[in-house]
Amino acid sequence: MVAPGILSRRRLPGLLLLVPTVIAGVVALVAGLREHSDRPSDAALVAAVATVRSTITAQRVTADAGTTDAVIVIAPPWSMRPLVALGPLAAIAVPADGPWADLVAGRFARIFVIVEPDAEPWLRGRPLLASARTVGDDGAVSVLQIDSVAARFDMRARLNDATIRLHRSADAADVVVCSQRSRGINGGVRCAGQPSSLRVAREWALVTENGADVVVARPPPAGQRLEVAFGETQPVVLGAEIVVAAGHTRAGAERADPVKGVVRLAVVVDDQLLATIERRPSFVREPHRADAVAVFVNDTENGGRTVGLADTERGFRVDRIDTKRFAGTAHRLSFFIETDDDKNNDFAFDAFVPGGP
Amino acid sequence: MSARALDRVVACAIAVVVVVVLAATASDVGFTRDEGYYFKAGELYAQWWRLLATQPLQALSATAINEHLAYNPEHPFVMKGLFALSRAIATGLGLDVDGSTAMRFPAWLVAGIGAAALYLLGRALALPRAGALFAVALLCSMPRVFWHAHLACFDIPVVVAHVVLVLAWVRFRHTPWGAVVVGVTFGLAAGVKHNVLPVPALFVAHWLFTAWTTPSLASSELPSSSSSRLRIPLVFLALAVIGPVVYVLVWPWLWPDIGARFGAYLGFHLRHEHYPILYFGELLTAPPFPWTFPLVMWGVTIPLPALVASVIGLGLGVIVTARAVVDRLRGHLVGEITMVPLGDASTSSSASAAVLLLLNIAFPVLLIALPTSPIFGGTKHWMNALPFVCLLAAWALCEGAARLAASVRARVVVVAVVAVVAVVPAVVSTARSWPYGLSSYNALVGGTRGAANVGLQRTFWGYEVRDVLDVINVRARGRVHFGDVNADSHRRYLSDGLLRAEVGWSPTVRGASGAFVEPQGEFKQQQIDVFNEWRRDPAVVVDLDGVPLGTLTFP
Repeated sequence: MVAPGILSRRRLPGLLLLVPTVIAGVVALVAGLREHSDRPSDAALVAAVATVRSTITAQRVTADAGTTDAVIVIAPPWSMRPLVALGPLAAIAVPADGPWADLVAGRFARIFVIVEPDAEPWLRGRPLLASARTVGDDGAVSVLQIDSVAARFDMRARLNDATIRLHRSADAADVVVCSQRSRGINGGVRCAGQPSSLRVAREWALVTENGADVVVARPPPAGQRLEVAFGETQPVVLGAEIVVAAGHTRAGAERADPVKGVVRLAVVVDDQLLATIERRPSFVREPHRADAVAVFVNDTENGGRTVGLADTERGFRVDRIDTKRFAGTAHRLSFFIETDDDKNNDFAFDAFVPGGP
Repeated sequence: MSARALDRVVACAIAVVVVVVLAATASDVGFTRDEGYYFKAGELYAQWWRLLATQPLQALSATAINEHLAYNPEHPFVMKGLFALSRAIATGLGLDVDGSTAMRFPAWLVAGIGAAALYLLGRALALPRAGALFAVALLCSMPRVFWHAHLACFDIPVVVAHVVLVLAWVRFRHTPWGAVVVGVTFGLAAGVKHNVLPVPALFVAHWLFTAWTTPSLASSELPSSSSSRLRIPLVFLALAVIGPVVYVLVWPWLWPDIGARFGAYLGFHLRHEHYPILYFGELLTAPPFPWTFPLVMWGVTIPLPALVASVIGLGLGVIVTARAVVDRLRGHLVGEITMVPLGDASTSSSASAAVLLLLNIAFPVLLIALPTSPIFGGTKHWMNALPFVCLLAAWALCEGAARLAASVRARVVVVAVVAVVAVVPAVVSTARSWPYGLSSYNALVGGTRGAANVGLQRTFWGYEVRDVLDVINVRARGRVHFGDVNADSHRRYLSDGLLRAEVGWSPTVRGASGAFVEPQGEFKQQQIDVFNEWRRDPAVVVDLDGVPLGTLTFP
């Protein structure tokens, strides 16, 4: 009950000057305690990993993620303590940022999501999670499992089977086959006689804020095309669609020419052009940050390199290409990469043919 | 004991407490990137101090200056000279302190002096003693301010320099000898870092406003409408003449060629490169930068109660100033609308003191808000506005207490209670985030985890490696890639015995026997290099509230 006179003309301003600070102090203390409890203990992370491990120990899990049909997604994606607990299993762990859900659904038979507190923004609006079931939950960390299907064709896993060619001009005969071995966690090749940056390799790359396991393939100089072809030694059985993710790395987004540096990625089945995907140098913008960015960062700022680009047109993202007419049959699948300005054009892509009917 | 004497005692006590706390906690804080450069400067300049002690004439020669003081001409001499002097004294006396402690010690002393000066400034502005203490507590309890105060860098020293300069202006500007003090103080302050170079312009604005709103001063300090003779106070002459002279005197590197070297110094800062900084997931690398940056960063890094108290204080300052302007425009005498006056009510209105504080808050913030200003470094580049914000917050607190409580005793109780409620969360936040104060975010953004979610910079400058040096010492076999830890900081770790002598410094992940990286923003690529070269699972993740600040990985 308010004491008589407490809201007198003199005291009301006094209350207005002091009460907000007192309320803020209480709120800060409570929030601080809550935040502190949001840090999962080491034991909670170990328990979460044990849950995952118990399910997939039967799988052969090595540093080559292509040899397993399981993937572990970490949310929030910036969290790295689960990697310590995962140990060797960290090789098949991916962060839950960028187009993560599109890149695991239909590609891995079993998808595990290690969910720490504060992960909600990264999981929001992901239809994939509708079928998730909780297989572990100690209050601080939960483990979700989603049963999906393994990919019919996974470009990353099959990169060693790819034929890499550099088309040096429009002349069909002016072609160099690239076969010089390159570094990378799953091999890769360079084009002999060409700059070392002109290579195709499976690597982790900063196409998203926390990186992704992709195929780096910088476009060659203007007028040339880099071809990554599958199905010449081992056939590619297509399905209803091909999922292609493509975009620039952080460095490419910052340094490539924002207009002339557009990369065109043509998807060709046998000799038929199915689609040409274009990527303007830019970096992915997470949907849950869009409002804050709209308020606090103008597109004309930070060099103004991405003026006019909608959030959905930025950075490493997925396109789905209809291949129903080829479904169930073996084909040659090629990707052609080109640009009008290759300078600093750090670019990467990923592709797979989802499993299932 | 007189009130003034008691204030001096309190100020000394504040300084001692600050220095002791900093000394007791400093060993937790690793060496930052820039600190490595200043440690190196400290070692080099120490040789010059030794020469000065033994062969003073030779030390003052251009040859000796060029030989010993040429390193790091991007910043003036005062603080680096103190780091070096402390190092030279410690070595000369054979004290059992490591080099980093010896060189950081002057920064702690300066921080202590700054806290004391803030208290004295509060008192000089007529704040009650409890209010002035609140301002000091508010500032010192801020996680980022407290963290910066440990370093052998210039960021807190220039905050202190700014406070001391304003204190000198408030206390001494009215007399001839006082003007000399202000001029000398300006020269010394500018000798700490360039941030304070524009402050005399703020003093001019303050003088104009004060004279305009204080008719009794108009005839002596400002041309009134009837008298157009401009009588510029002597203090401006002191600022214009004595300040630069002192500035040059305390920066020996300039002496052999003052014009060229000062020009090069100015040119460096006018064309400073832009380091990347993460802001809502956008890696800001090139101007124009968002004008919102300093305000937003304050909004999410100042502990919530301190932020609210600051906003209220700023609001009070703006209202009082606006009222004074309106009064003056209407031809009225400027009236007081607060129960607690700010400043010397016998010579000018509270609005005058409020304007002084507002100017010294607005300038650093507006400078960083300019689209072309370098914005790297988190919140440190406009940190020199914070003491004045705290004074306004303290004023608002005292005003609120005066309106709620009739007796002086009751007012002190109200101030104490609110102060505790406002400061304790900040102290808790500082303690919880320790020693990673740079990664502290407030409740508005959801703390450090919330800041990571919205894409704000988590940390800077590689100092987090301090926490894993023991692991490196055990497991590293040869050179280690230390991420943002530069070679000079690495050498300091070796010199201080924190790293085994065999643990070398590798500029790249490839070829190293271990790697410590900051997995964020511009350094995320180093983490990617670790993934590609070695493995996905780090040996150790240094974190705050689960947000990774550094990872240590071995092949």
